[in-house]
Amino acid sequence: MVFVQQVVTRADFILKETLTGLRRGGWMNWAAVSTLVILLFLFGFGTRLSWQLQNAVAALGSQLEVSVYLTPEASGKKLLQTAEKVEGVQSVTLQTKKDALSQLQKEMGVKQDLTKALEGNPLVDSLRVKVSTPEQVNTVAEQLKAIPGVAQTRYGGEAANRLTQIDKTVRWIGLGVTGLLGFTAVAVITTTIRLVVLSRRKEIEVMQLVGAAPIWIYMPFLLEGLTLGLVAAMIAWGGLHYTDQFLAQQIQVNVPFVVLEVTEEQANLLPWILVGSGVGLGSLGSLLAVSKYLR
Amino acid sequence: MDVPSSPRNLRSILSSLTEARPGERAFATQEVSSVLMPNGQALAISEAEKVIAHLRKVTKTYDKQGRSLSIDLDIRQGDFLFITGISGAGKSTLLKMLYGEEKPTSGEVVVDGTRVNKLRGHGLSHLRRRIGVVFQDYKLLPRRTVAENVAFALQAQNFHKAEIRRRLLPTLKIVGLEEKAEHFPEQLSGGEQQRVAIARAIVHTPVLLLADEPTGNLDAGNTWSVLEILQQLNEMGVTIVVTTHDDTIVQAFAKRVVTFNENQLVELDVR
Repeated sequence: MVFVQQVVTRADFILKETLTGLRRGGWMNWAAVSTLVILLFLFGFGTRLSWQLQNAVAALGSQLEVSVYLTPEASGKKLLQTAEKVEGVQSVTLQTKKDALSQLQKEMGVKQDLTKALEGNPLVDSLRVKVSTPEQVNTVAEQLKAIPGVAQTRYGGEAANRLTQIDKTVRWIGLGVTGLLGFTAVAVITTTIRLVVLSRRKEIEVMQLVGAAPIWIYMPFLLEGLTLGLVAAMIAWGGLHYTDQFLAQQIQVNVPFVVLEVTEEQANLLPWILVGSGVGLGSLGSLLAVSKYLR
Repeated sequence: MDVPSSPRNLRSILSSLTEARPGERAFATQEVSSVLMPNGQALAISEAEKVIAHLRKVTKTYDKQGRSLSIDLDIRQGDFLFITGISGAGKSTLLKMLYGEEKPTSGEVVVDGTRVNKLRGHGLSHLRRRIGVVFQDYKLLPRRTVAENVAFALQAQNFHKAEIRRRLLPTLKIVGLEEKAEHFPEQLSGGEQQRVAIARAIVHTPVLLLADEPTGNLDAGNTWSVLEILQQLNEMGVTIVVTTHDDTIVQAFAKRVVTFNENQLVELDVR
């Protein structure tokens, strides 16, 4: 409680010192903020892209069905039981070529018997295999394909695989770029704050001599780094917001079948991630700057 | 010529600062039988000879050959103690050990009941709130006015705004600078700047005032006025330790003198 009271009593002193420090930082503040903005923008962009890809994968992955097309000679009834025995298979339904033809007829809106026009039924028996978990779709499909009498298998997992691959790549590049830029950002912030610390060496010396508590001496510098991080996060968030709108428009116009979406929670989470990273990096930078003066 | 107010005026100004409010420190005058400690408790002073700081069997190695100072010293309540010796003899080092800027190699340094030896961080800042320090180069903040410089010490120590206002003017009057409260240090003479530094060092009513060559940069007139202020503060009960290599002022003002004789601190007789 005493600490809280002290914070309140000293709030205006510390805020004034922080503002003075920011003024003295001058153009170095912009160097620090712009580095941070670029970092946070790319980080936010990568994170959102990764989310979008993951959501797309999730949408595809929920289709747990493998379609198995048999050779013309094979009989679905016989293969049904073999298919059921494959591990990971939940259920199998049979669609005979007769059913398939009548369905096709219905879909096409043809009234007369197609077999006559086509000289027999050109379709094959097929099995609709439901798989228990998304991870098993791949292996189940391969095992089914190996069964004699199976011509080919189809499932949504192929596209999902490719998207997961892209997502992985995005994340690795993102990690590399943000790691490198994070290092640069912290270095720039540290240099900025250290310049301010140097310009205020005299104040710090006097404060130490008259018995100011170390936390009050260094609080303005911490707040300064924190402010830089906060400002950068807000600018980056604004930038992300507008690029998102622009890209969504472009996709709508040019490739309307591509659906890249984030959930509402993810959309709400992103600004907090940016603010958290910005404030964290800003504080880290100023801590490094004053660490050698903290005894 | 900047001559401070007359001693009689000072006395009444000082007494306004000696009236402590609950929970505050006051200047401990020798006439007063008790002082209010920071925690609000009254501490009885049985005798004026109370030791408020001591260096016991202290050694301080100062070069690679292993040569070291050796110091045994009691600083008593009400002392106006001068530390003399040629420059480099260890006068500043002794003061620095008292306010925790340098650590003794061995022995014990105690100020106002606090063992200073290994003090750091929060403990050190709390010790320094009970000490005032004045330097040869004043160490004033150039972009702040006289009043701001003095108030800065109180702000740094978490004093309330009202209390800062209450203390500011009387303290400036003590050093004769109430007219120049809104001036910046560069607009003042060296003597006036040193008086601002003294005001900053006493505004929080410390138990001990340390002055490291306070007149080293001043001409004779300013030296005299600065020492008169210190003497008047001492008469009001402030314990003062001054380092100097100027024998004239030692003879004129010192109540007690110690000096370094071949790295050993010894007490001199004062006539």
